[in-house]
Amino acid sequence: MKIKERIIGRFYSICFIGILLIAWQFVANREIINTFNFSSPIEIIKDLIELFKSGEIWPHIRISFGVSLLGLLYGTIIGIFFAFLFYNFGILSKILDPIMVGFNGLPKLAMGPVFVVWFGIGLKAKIVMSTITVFFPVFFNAYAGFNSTDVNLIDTLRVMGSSKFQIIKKIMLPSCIPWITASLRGGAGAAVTGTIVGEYLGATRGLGWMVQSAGGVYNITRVFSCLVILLVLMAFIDSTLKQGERYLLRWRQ
Amino acid sequence: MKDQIKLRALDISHYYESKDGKLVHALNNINLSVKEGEFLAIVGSSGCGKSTLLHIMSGIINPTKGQVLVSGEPLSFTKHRIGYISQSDTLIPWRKIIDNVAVGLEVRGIQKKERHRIARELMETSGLSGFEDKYPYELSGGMRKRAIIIRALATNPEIIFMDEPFGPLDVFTKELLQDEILKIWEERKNTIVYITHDIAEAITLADRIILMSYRPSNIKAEYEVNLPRPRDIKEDKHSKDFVELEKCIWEEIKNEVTKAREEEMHSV
Repeated sequence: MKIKERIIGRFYSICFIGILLIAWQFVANREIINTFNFSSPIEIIKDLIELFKSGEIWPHIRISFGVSLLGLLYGTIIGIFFAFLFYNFGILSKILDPIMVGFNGLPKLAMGPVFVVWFGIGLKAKIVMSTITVFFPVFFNAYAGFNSTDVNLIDTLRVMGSSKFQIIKKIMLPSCIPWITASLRGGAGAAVTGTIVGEYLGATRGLGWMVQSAGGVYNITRVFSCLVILLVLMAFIDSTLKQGERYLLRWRQ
Repeated sequence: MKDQIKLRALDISHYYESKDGKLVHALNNINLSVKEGEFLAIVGSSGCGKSTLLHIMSGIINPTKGQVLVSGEPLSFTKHRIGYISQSDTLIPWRKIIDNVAVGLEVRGIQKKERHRIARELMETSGLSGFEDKYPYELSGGMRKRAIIIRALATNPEIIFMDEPFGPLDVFTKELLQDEILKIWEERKNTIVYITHDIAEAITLADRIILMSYRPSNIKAEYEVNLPRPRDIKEDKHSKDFVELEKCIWEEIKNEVTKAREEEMHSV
Protein backbone atom coordinates (compact mmCIF):
# COMPACT_ATOMS: atom_id res chain seq x y z
CA MET A 1 0.00 0.00 0.00
CA LYS A 2 2.74 2.40 1.01
CA ILE A 3 4.84 1.55 -2.03
CA LYS A 4 1.85 2.06 -4.29
CA GLU A 5 1.22 5.49 -2.78
CA ARG A 6 4.84 6.41 -3.32
CA ILE A 7 4.78 5.36 -6.95
CA ILE A 8 1.62 7.36 -7.56
CA GLY A 9 3.21 10.35 -5.83
CA ARG A 10 6.32 10.07 -8.02
CA PHE A 11 4.19 9.75 -11.12
CA TYR A 12 2.32 12.95 -10.36
CA SER A 13 5.45 14.93 -9.62
CA ILE A 14 7.03 13.79 -12.89
CA CYS A 15 3.84 14.78 -14.73
CA PHE A 16 3.93 18.17 -13.04
CA ILE A 17 7.54 18.82 -14.01
CA GLY A 18 6.79 17.61 -17.56
CA ILE A 19 3.89 20.03 -17.87
CA LEU A 20 6.06 22.90 -16.63
CA LEU A 21 8.79 22.06 -19.16
CA ILE A 22 6.30 21.76 -22.02
CA ALA A 23 4.72 25.07 -21.07
CA TRP A 24 8.18 26.67 -20.92
CA GLN A 25 9.02 25.29 -24.38
CA PHE A 26 5.64 26.42 -25.70
CA VAL A 27 5.97 30.04 -24.60
CA ALA A 28 9.56 30.04 -25.88
CA ASN A 29 8.50 28.78 -29.34
CA ARG A 30 5.70 31.31 -29.54
CA GLU A 31 8.20 33.98 -28.52
CA ILE A 32 5.98 35.04 -25.65
CA ILE A 33 9.16 35.12 -23.60
CA ASN A 34 12.53 36.26 -24.82
CA THR A 35 14.65 33.12 -25.27
CA PHE A 36 17.79 35.24 -24.94
CA ASN A 37 16.85 35.88 -21.33
CA PHE A 38 14.94 32.71 -20.51
CA SER A 39 16.35 30.03 -22.82
CA SER A 40 14.21 26.92 -23.40
CA PRO A 41 14.25 23.28 -22.33
CA ILE A 42 15.32 22.02 -25.77
CA GLU A 43 18.19 24.51 -25.93
CA ILE A 44 19.33 23.42 -22.48
CA ILE A 45 19.17 19.73 -23.38
CA LYS A 46 21.12 20.39 -26.55
CA ASP A 47 23.73 22.30 -24.57
CA LEU A 48 23.98 19.52 -21.99
CA ILE A 49 24.48 16.90 -24.68
CA GLU A 50 27.15 19.09 -26.21
CA LEU A 51 28.91 19.57 -22.85
CA PHE A 52 29.01 15.86 -22.11
CA LYS A 53 29.81 14.79 -25.66
CA SER A 54 32.86 17.01 -25.84
CA GLY A 55 33.78 16.01 -22.30
CA GLU A 56 34.35 19.65 -21.51
CA ILE A 57 32.18 19.51 -18.40
CA TRP A 58 33.89 16.66 -16.54
CA PRO A 59 36.82 18.53 -15.00
CA HIS A 60 34.43 21.17 -13.68
CA ILE A 61 32.13 18.60 -12.11
CA ARG A 62 35.07 16.77 -10.64
CA ILE A 63 36.46 19.93 -9.07
CA SER A 64 33.19 21.15 -7.59
CA PHE A 65 32.18 17.71 -6.41
CA GLY A 66 35.61 17.01 -4.91
CA VAL A 67 35.81 20.34 -3.13
CA SER A 68 32.30 19.87 -1.72
CA LEU A 69 33.12 16.40 -0.44
CA LEU A 70 36.35 17.59 1.13
CA GLY A 71 34.46 20.44 2.77
CA LEU A 72 31.88 18.01 4.06
CA LEU A 73 34.57 15.68 5.38
CA TYR A 74 36.73 18.35 7.04
CA GLY A 75 33.74 20.26 8.37
CA THR A 76 32.32 17.11 9.93
CA ILE A 77 35.57 15.97 11.51
CA ILE A 78 36.50 19.40 12.84
CA GLY A 79 32.92 19.96 14.02
CA ILE A 80 32.88 16.71 16.01
CA PHE A 81 36.34 17.39 17.37
CA PHE A 82 35.44 20.86 18.63
CA ALA A 83 32.15 19.61 20.05
CA PHE A 84 34.13 17.00 21.94
CA LEU A 85 36.55 19.61 23.30
CA PHE A 86 33.70 21.89 24.33
CA TYR A 87 31.92 19.02 26.03
CA ASN A 88 34.97 17.92 27.98
CA PHE A 89 36.32 21.32 28.94
CA GLY A 90 33.44 23.27 30.43
CA ILE A 91 35.59 26.37 30.72
CA LEU A 92 36.11 26.38 26.95
CA SER A 93 32.42 26.33 26.25
CA LYS A 94 31.83 29.10 28.80
CA ILE A 95 34.33 31.36 27.09
CA LEU A 96 33.68 30.49 23.47
CA ASP A 97 29.96 29.73 23.42
CA PRO A 98 28.85 33.30 22.67
CA ILE A 99 31.53 33.60 20.01
CA MET A 100 30.40 30.38 18.35
CA VAL A 101 26.78 31.44 18.42
CA GLY A 102 27.76 34.81 16.98
CA PHE A 103 29.77 33.34 14.15
CA ASN A 104 27.01 30.89 13.43
CA GLY A 105 24.58 33.78 13.00
CA LEU A 106 26.95 35.45 10.56
CA PRO A 107 26.30 34.61 6.91
CA LYS A 108 29.46 32.61 6.25
CA LEU A 109 29.30 33.27 2.52
CA ALA A 110 29.80 36.96 3.22
CA MET A 111 33.28 36.08 4.42
CA GLY A 112 34.13 34.75 0.95
CA PRO A 113 36.24 37.70 -0.18
CA VAL A 114 38.32 37.44 2.98
CA PHE A 115 39.12 33.81 2.21
CA VAL A 116 40.05 34.69 -1.36
CA VAL A 117 42.51 37.25 0.01
CA TRP A 118 43.89 34.79 2.55
CA PHE A 119 43.99 31.64 0.48
CA GLY A 120 44.08 32.87 -3.09
CA ILE A 121 41.78 31.91 -5.93
CA GLY A 122 42.95 28.30 -5.93
CA LEU A 123 41.17 25.35 -4.42
CA LYS A 124 42.17 26.17 -0.87
CA ALA A 125 39.78 29.09 -0.50
CA LYS A 126 36.83 27.02 -1.70
CA ILE A 127 37.66 24.10 0.56
CA VAL A 128 37.90 26.48 3.51
CA MET A 129 34.62 28.06 2.51
CA SER A 130 32.70 24.82 2.29
CA THR A 131 34.40 23.44 5.42
CA ILE A 132 33.24 26.42 7.43
CA THR A 133 29.68 26.24 6.18
CA VAL A 134 29.55 22.55 7.16
CA PHE A 135 31.38 23.04 10.45
CA PHE A 136 28.73 25.02 12.29
CA PRO A 137 25.68 22.80 11.93
CA VAL A 138 27.78 19.70 12.66
CA PHE A 139 29.43 21.35 15.66
CA PHE A 140 26.17 22.43 17.30
CA ASN A 141 24.50 19.11 16.66
CA ALA A 142 27.41 17.01 17.88
CA TYR A 143 27.67 19.20 20.98
CA ALA A 144 24.01 18.64 21.71
CA GLY A 145 24.62 14.95 21.06
CA PHE A 146 27.46 14.70 23.57
CA ASN A 147 25.38 16.54 26.14
CA SER A 148 22.52 14.15 25.73
CA THR A 149 24.65 11.05 26.28
CA ASP A 150 22.87 8.74 28.69
CA VAL A 151 24.78 8.98 31.99
CA ASN A 152 23.48 5.56 32.97
CA LEU A 153 25.28 3.98 30.02
CA ILE A 154 28.51 5.71 30.98
CA ASP A 155 28.17 4.52 34.59
CA THR A 156 27.40 1.01 33.43
CA LEU A 157 30.66 0.86 31.53
CA ARG A 158 32.63 2.64 34.22
CA VAL A 159 31.60 0.07 36.81
CA MET A 160 32.74 -2.67 34.47
CA GLY A 161 36.21 -1.17 34.59
CA SER A 162 36.26 0.77 31.30
CA SER A 163 38.97 3.29 30.63
CA LYS A 164 38.02 6.84 29.63
CA PHE A 165 39.01 6.07 26.07
CA GLN A 166 36.78 3.00 25.94
CA ILE A 167 33.84 5.04 27.19
CA ILE A 168 34.40 7.66 24.50
CA LYS A 169 34.69 5.02 21.80
CA LYS A 170 31.93 2.70 22.90
CA ILE A 171 29.37 5.14 24.28
CA MET A 172 29.93 8.80 23.59
CA LEU A 173 30.79 8.80 19.91
CA PRO A 174 28.13 6.27 18.89
CA SER A 175 25.45 8.09 20.84
CA CYS A 176 26.27 11.18 18.79
CA ILE A 177 25.66 9.47 15.47
CA PRO A 178 21.95 10.26 15.18
CA TRP A 179 22.72 13.93 15.85
CA ILE A 180 25.56 14.03 13.37
CA THR A 181 23.69 12.31 10.56
CA ALA A 182 20.81 14.71 11.12
CA SER A 183 23.16 17.62 10.56
CA LEU A 184 24.99 16.00 7.66
CA ARG A 185 22.26 16.22 5.05
CA GLY A 186 21.84 19.89 5.76
CA GLY A 187 25.60 20.16 5.86
CA ALA A 188 25.96 18.67 2.40
CA GLY A 189 23.78 21.41 0.94
CA ALA A 190 25.90 23.91 2.80
CA ALA A 191 29.09 22.35 1.43
CA VAL A 192 27.96 22.64 -2.19
CA THR A 193 26.71 26.19 -1.64
CA GLY A 194 30.04 27.12 -0.05
CA THR A 195 31.93 25.64 -2.98
CA ILE A 196 29.83 27.32 -5.66
CA VAL A 197 29.92 30.73 -4.02
CA GLY A 198 33.66 30.29 -3.53
CA GLU A 199 33.97 29.66 -7.23
CA TYR A 200 31.88 32.72 -8.06
CA LEU A 201 34.31 34.86 -6.17
CA GLY A 202 37.36 33.80 -8.07
CA ALA A 203 38.29 30.58 -9.79
CA THR A 204 39.48 29.19 -13.07
CA ARG A 205 37.45 26.01 -13.00
CA GLY A 206 34.38 24.46 -11.41
CA LEU A 207 30.64 24.63 -11.89
CA GLY A 208 30.41 27.90 -9.95
CA TRP A 209 33.01 29.43 -12.20
CA MET A 210 31.12 28.13 -15.23
CA VAL A 211 27.86 29.68 -14.08
CA GLN A 212 29.63 32.94 -13.37
CA SER A 213 31.44 33.15 -16.67
CA ALA A 214 28.40 32.06 -18.73
CA GLY A 215 26.27 34.65 -16.93
CA GLY A 216 28.90 37.24 -17.68
CA VAL A 217 28.41 36.77 -21.41
CA TYR A 218 24.62 36.38 -21.18
CA ASN A 219 24.78 32.68 -22.04
CA ILE A 220 21.63 31.86 -20.05
CA THR A 221 21.31 28.40 -21.60
CA ARG A 222 24.71 27.48 -20.21
CA VAL A 223 23.76 28.82 -16.78
CA PHE A 224 20.67 26.62 -16.78
CA SER A 225 22.71 23.61 -17.93
CA CYS A 226 25.00 24.07 -14.96
CA LEU A 227 22.05 24.41 -12.61
CA VAL A 228 20.64 21.12 -13.92
CA ILE A 229 23.97 19.42 -13.26
CA LEU A 230 24.10 20.88 -9.77
CA LEU A 231 20.58 19.66 -9.14
CA VAL A 232 21.50 16.11 -10.12
CA LEU A 233 24.70 16.32 -8.07
CA MET A 234 22.80 17.43 -4.97
CA ALA A 235 20.19 14.72 -5.41
CA PHE A 236 22.98 12.17 -5.69
CA ILE A 237 24.77 13.35 -2.54
CA ASP A 238 21.53 13.55 -0.61
CA SER A 239 20.35 10.07 -1.50
CA THR A 240 23.77 8.61 -0.72
CA LEU A 241 23.72 10.25 2.70
CA LYS A 242 20.18 9.02 3.23
CA GLN A 243 21.29 5.46 2.54
CA GLY A 244 24.26 5.89 4.85
CA GLU A 245 22.02 7.25 7.57
CA ARG A 246 19.65 4.34 7.25
CA TYR A 247 22.57 1.94 7.62
CA LEU A 248 24.14 3.72 10.58
CA LEU A 249 20.84 3.99 12.43
CA ARG A 250 19.63 0.47 11.73
CA TRP A 251 19.46 -0.12 15.48
CA ARG A 252 16.65 2.34 15.82
CA GLN A 253 13.00 1.57 15.63
CA MET B 1 34.11 -18.57 54.02
CA LYS B 2 30.54 -17.57 54.66
CA ASP B 3 31.37 -15.23 57.49
CA GLN B 4 34.09 -13.34 55.71
CA ILE B 5 33.24 -9.71 55.17
CA LYS B 6 33.13 -8.86 51.50
CA LEU B 7 31.98 -5.29 51.45
CA ARG B 8 32.30 -2.69 54.12
CA ALA B 9 31.01 0.87 54.19
CA LEU B 10 32.85 2.92 56.79
CA ASP B 11 31.45 6.12 58.33
CA ILE B 12 29.71 7.19 55.14
CA SER B 13 28.24 10.68 55.19
CA HIS B 14 27.09 12.44 52.10
CA TYR B 15 25.89 15.89 51.15
CA TYR B 16 24.77 17.05 47.75
CA GLU B 17 23.40 20.20 46.24
CA SER B 18 19.80 19.97 45.15
CA LYS B 19 18.52 21.60 41.98
CA ASP B 20 17.42 24.76 43.79
CA GLY B 21 20.88 25.13 45.30
CA LYS B 22 20.15 23.86 48.79
CA LEU B 23 22.65 21.60 50.50
CA VAL B 24 21.02 18.26 51.27
CA HIS B 25 22.37 16.07 54.02
CA ALA B 26 21.57 12.70 52.48
CA LEU B 27 23.47 10.15 54.52
CA ASN B 28 24.65 10.40 58.08
CA ASN B 29 27.51 8.26 59.31
CA ILE B 30 26.53 4.91 57.91
CA ASN B 31 28.45 1.79 58.82
CA LEU B 32 27.54 -1.38 57.05
CA SER B 33 29.11 -4.75 56.32
CA VAL B 34 28.05 -7.36 53.84
CA LYS B 35 29.29 -10.92 54.22
CA GLU B 36 30.69 -12.93 51.38
CA GLY B 37 27.83 -14.63 49.54
CA GLU B 38 25.18 -12.72 51.43
CA PHE B 39 22.01 -11.36 49.87
CA LEU B 40 21.39 -8.02 51.54
CA ALA B 41 18.31 -5.92 50.85
CA ILE B 42 18.07 -2.25 51.73
CA VAL B 43 14.58 -0.84 52.08
CA GLY B 44 13.26 2.61 52.78
CA SER B 45 10.65 5.07 51.64
CA SER B 46 11.37 7.06 48.51
CA GLY B 47 13.78 9.91 49.04
CA CYS B 48 15.50 8.21 51.96
CA GLY B 49 18.81 8.14 50.15
CA LYS B 50 19.02 4.42 49.52
CA SER B 51 19.95 4.95 45.88
CA THR B 52 22.62 7.41 46.95
CA LEU B 53 23.99 4.81 49.35
CA LEU B 54 24.07 2.21 46.58
CA HIS B 55 25.80 4.65 44.24
CA ILE B 56 28.42 5.18 46.90
CA MET B 57 28.85 1.52 47.79
CA SER B 58 29.20 0.58 44.14
CA GLY B 59 31.77 3.32 43.61
CA ILE B 60 29.77 5.35 41.09
CA ILE B 61 29.92 8.43 43.30
CA ASN B 62 32.38 9.34 46.00
CA PRO B 63 30.96 10.05 49.46
CA THR B 64 31.60 13.40 51.10
CA LYS B 65 33.08 11.47 53.99
CA GLY B 66 33.89 7.83 54.54
CA GLN B 67 35.23 4.90 52.62
CA VAL B 68 34.13 1.73 50.87
CA LEU B 69 36.23 -1.41 51.15
CA VAL B 70 36.00 -4.59 49.13
CA SER B 71 37.75 -7.50 50.84
CA GLY B 72 39.59 -4.96 52.93
CA GLU B 73 40.89 -2.85 50.05
CA PRO B 74 39.48 0.42 48.69
CA LEU B 75 37.00 -0.35 45.92
CA SER B 76 38.42 -0.10 42.41
CA PHE B 77 36.58 -0.83 39.17
CA THR B 78 39.63 -2.33 37.52
CA LYS B 79 40.76 -4.43 40.46
CA HIS B 80 37.37 -5.69 41.61
CA ARG B 81 34.66 -7.14 39.45
CA ILE B 82 31.49 -5.20 40.17
CA GLY B 83 28.07 -5.82 38.68
CA TYR B 84 25.60 -3.00 38.65
CA ILE B 85 21.98 -3.22 37.60
CA SER B 86 20.02 -0.03 37.78
CA GLN B 87 16.39 0.82 37.51
CA SER B 88 16.73 2.20 34.01
CA ASP B 89 17.17 0.34 30.77
CA THR B 90 20.91 0.37 30.27
CA LEU B 91 21.33 -1.86 27.25
CA ILE B 92 23.41 -0.04 24.67
CA PRO B 93 20.88 0.58 21.88
CA TRP B 94 23.29 0.34 18.93
CA ARG B 95 24.75 -2.98 20.00
CA LYS B 96 23.26 -6.35 19.23
CA ILE B 97 22.13 -8.28 22.29
CA ILE B 98 25.11 -10.60 22.23
CA ASP B 99 27.51 -7.67 22.11
CA ASN B 100 25.62 -6.03 24.93
CA VAL B 101 25.89 -9.12 27.08
CA ALA B 102 29.57 -9.40 26.25
CA VAL B 103 30.50 -5.75 26.74
CA GLY B 104 31.93 -6.26 30.23
CA LEU B 105 34.22 -8.96 28.90
CA GLU B 106 35.14 -6.80 25.93
CA VAL B 107 36.14 -3.99 28.26
CA ARG B 108 38.40 -6.44 30.08
CA GLY B 109 40.11 -7.40 26.86
CA ILE B 110 38.66 -10.89 26.33
CA GLN B 111 38.89 -12.06 22.72
CA LYS B 112 35.75 -11.90 20.64
CA LYS B 113 35.38 -15.62 20.19
CA GLU B 114 35.68 -16.34 23.86
CA ARG B 115 33.39 -13.54 25.00
CA HIS B 116 30.73 -14.55 22.50
CA ARG B 117 30.94 -18.11 23.74
CA ILE B 118 30.34 -16.99 27.33
CA ALA B 119 27.56 -14.63 26.29
CA ARG B 120 25.86 -17.31 24.22
CA GLU B 121 25.95 -19.75 27.11
CA LEU B 122 24.38 -17.23 29.47
CA MET B 123 21.75 -16.31 26.92
CA GLU B 124 20.83 -19.94 26.59
CA THR B 125 20.32 -20.42 30.32
CA SER B 126 18.08 -17.37 30.54
CA GLY B 127 15.94 -18.16 27.53
CA LEU B 128 17.40 -15.55 25.21
CA SER B 129 18.72 -17.94 22.57
CA GLY B 130 17.85 -16.81 19.09
CA PHE B 131 18.02 -13.15 20.03
CA GLU B 132 21.81 -12.83 19.73
CA ASP B 133 21.68 -10.66 16.63
CA LYS B 134 18.66 -8.57 17.58
CA TYR B 135 18.89 -4.97 18.69
CA PRO B 136 17.54 -4.00 22.13
CA TYR B 137 14.48 -2.24 20.70
CA GLU B 138 13.33 -5.56 19.24
CA LEU B 139 12.99 -7.16 22.71
CA SER B 140 10.27 -6.87 25.33
CA GLY B 141 10.91 -5.09 28.62
CA GLY B 142 11.31 -8.36 30.52
CA MET B 143 13.76 -9.75 28.00
CA ARG B 144 15.81 -6.59 28.07
CA LYS B 145 16.01 -6.85 31.85
CA ARG B 146 17.14 -10.46 31.51
CA ALA B 147 19.85 -9.39 29.11
CA ILE B 148 20.97 -6.72 31.60
CA ILE B 149 21.14 -9.30 34.39
CA ILE B 150 23.24 -11.75 32.43
CA ARG B 151 25.43 -8.92 31.20
CA ALA B 152 26.24 -8.22 34.85
CA LEU B 153 26.85 -11.92 35.46
CA ALA B 154 29.11 -12.36 32.44
CA THR B 155 32.17 -10.97 34.20
CA ASN B 156 31.48 -13.25 37.18
CA PRO B 157 31.28 -10.29 39.58
CA GLU B 158 32.29 -10.50 43.21
CA ILE B 159 29.49 -8.17 44.21
CA ILE B 160 26.30 -7.30 42.35
CA PHE B 161 24.48 -4.09 43.17
CA MET B 162 20.86 -3.82 42.15
CA ASP B 163 18.86 -0.62 42.38
CA GLU B 164 15.17 -1.48 42.20
CA PRO B 165 15.92 -3.49 39.10
CA PHE B 166 12.36 -4.58 38.43
CA GLY B 167 10.66 -1.32 39.33
CA PRO B 168 9.06 -0.48 36.00
CA LEU B 169 7.99 -4.02 35.06
CA ASP B 170 4.55 -5.57 35.36
CA VAL B 171 3.80 -7.89 38.30
CA PHE B 172 4.07 -11.16 36.36
CA THR B 173 7.37 -10.37 34.73
CA LYS B 174 8.62 -9.07 38.03
CA GLU B 175 7.87 -12.33 39.85
CA LEU B 176 9.42 -14.41 37.11
CA LEU B 177 12.60 -12.37 37.25
CA GLN B 178 12.71 -12.46 41.05
CA ASP B 179 12.51 -16.20 40.81
CA GLU B 180 15.36 -16.22 38.32
CA ILE B 181 17.51 -13.98 40.49
CA LEU B 182 16.95 -16.38 43.39
CA LYS B 183 17.96 -19.37 41.29
CA ILE B 184 21.04 -17.63 39.97
CA TRP B 185 22.08 -16.53 43.42
CA GLU B 186 21.44 -19.90 45.02
CA GLU B 187 23.64 -21.44 42.36
CA ARG B 188 26.43 -18.88 42.21
CA LYS B 189 26.39 -17.32 45.69
CA ASN B 190 27.56 -13.91 44.54
CA THR B 191 27.35 -11.20 47.15
CA ILE B 192 24.29 -9.11 46.34
CA VAL B 193 23.17 -5.71 47.61
CA TYR B 194 19.62 -5.10 46.54
CA ILE B 195 17.66 -1.87 46.89
CA THR B 196 13.90 -1.85 46.90
CA HIS B 197 10.92 -0.08 48.40
CA ASP B 198 8.89 -3.28 48.14
CA ILE B 199 9.04 -4.98 51.55
CA ALA B 200 7.64 -8.28 50.28
CA GLU B 201 10.28 -8.38 47.55
CA ALA B 202 13.02 -7.81 50.12
CA ILE B 203 11.75 -10.62 52.35
CA THR B 204 11.36 -12.98 49.43
CA LEU B 205 14.92 -12.52 48.24
CA ALA B 206 17.23 -11.49 51.04
CA ASP B 207 19.10 -13.03 53.96
CA ARG B 208 19.14 -9.75 55.80
CA ILE B 209 17.17 -6.52 55.45
CA ILE B 210 18.32 -3.07 56.40
CA LEU B 211 15.77 -0.34 56.89
CA MET B 212 16.90 3.22 56.29
CA SER B 213 15.55 6.26 58.06
CA TYR B 214 14.50 9.49 56.40
CA ARG B 215 17.12 12.16 55.60
CA PRO B 216 19.75 12.56 56.86
CA SER B 217 19.47 8.84 56.75
CA ASN B 218 21.20 6.13 58.63
CA ILE B 219 20.38 2.56 59.47
CA LYS B 220 17.17 2.50 61.41
CA ALA B 221 16.69 -1.21 61.89
CA GLU B 222 18.05 -4.54 60.78
CA TYR B 223 16.20 -7.82 60.29
CA GLU B 224 17.38 -11.36 59.69
CA VAL B 225 15.17 -13.29 57.28
CA ASN B 226 15.04 -16.85 58.51
CA LEU B 227 12.95 -18.37 55.75
CA PRO B 228 14.55 -21.61 54.54
CA ARG B 229 16.37 -21.87 51.20
CA PRO B 230 15.69 -22.62 48.45
CA ARG B 231 12.76 -20.30 48.60
CA ASP B 232 9.48 -20.49 46.85
CA ILE B 233 8.20 -17.12 45.70
CA LYS B 234 4.56 -18.17 45.63
CA GLU B 235 4.35 -20.23 48.84
CA ASP B 236 6.61 -18.27 51.17
CA LYS B 237 4.34 -15.26 51.00
CA HIS B 238 1.74 -17.08 53.08
CA SER B 239 4.06 -18.45 55.73
CA LYS B 240 3.70 -17.13 59.26
CA ASP B 241 7.29 -15.86 59.49
CA PHE B 242 6.92 -13.92 56.27
CA VAL B 243 3.69 -12.20 57.28
CA GLU B 244 4.99 -11.30 60.71
CA LEU B 245 8.23 -9.85 59.41
CA GLU B 246 6.41 -7.88 56.76
CA LYS B 247 4.11 -6.38 59.39
CA CYS B 248 7.00 -5.53 61.65
CA ILE B 249 8.96 -3.72 58.89
CA TRP B 250 5.85 -1.99 57.67
CA GLU B 251 5.21 -0.50 61.14
CA GLU B 252 8.72 0.94 61.23
CA ILE B 253 8.50 2.34 57.70
CA LYS B 254 5.17 3.98 58.46
CA ASN B 255 6.81 6.09 61.15
CA GLU B 256 9.48 7.18 58.71
CA VAL B 257 6.98 8.06 55.99
CA THR B 258 4.97 10.16 58.43
CA LYS B 259 8.14 11.92 59.51
CA ALA B 260 9.12 12.58 55.91
CA ARG B 261 5.73 13.99 55.11
CA GLU B 262 5.78 16.32 58.11
CA GLU B 263 9.20 17.58 57.14
CA GLU B 264 8.06 18.29 53.61
CA MET B 265 5.07 20.21 54.92
CA HIS B 266 7.36 22.35 57.05
CA SER B 267 9.76 23.13 54.27
CA VAL B 268 7.00 24.33 51.92
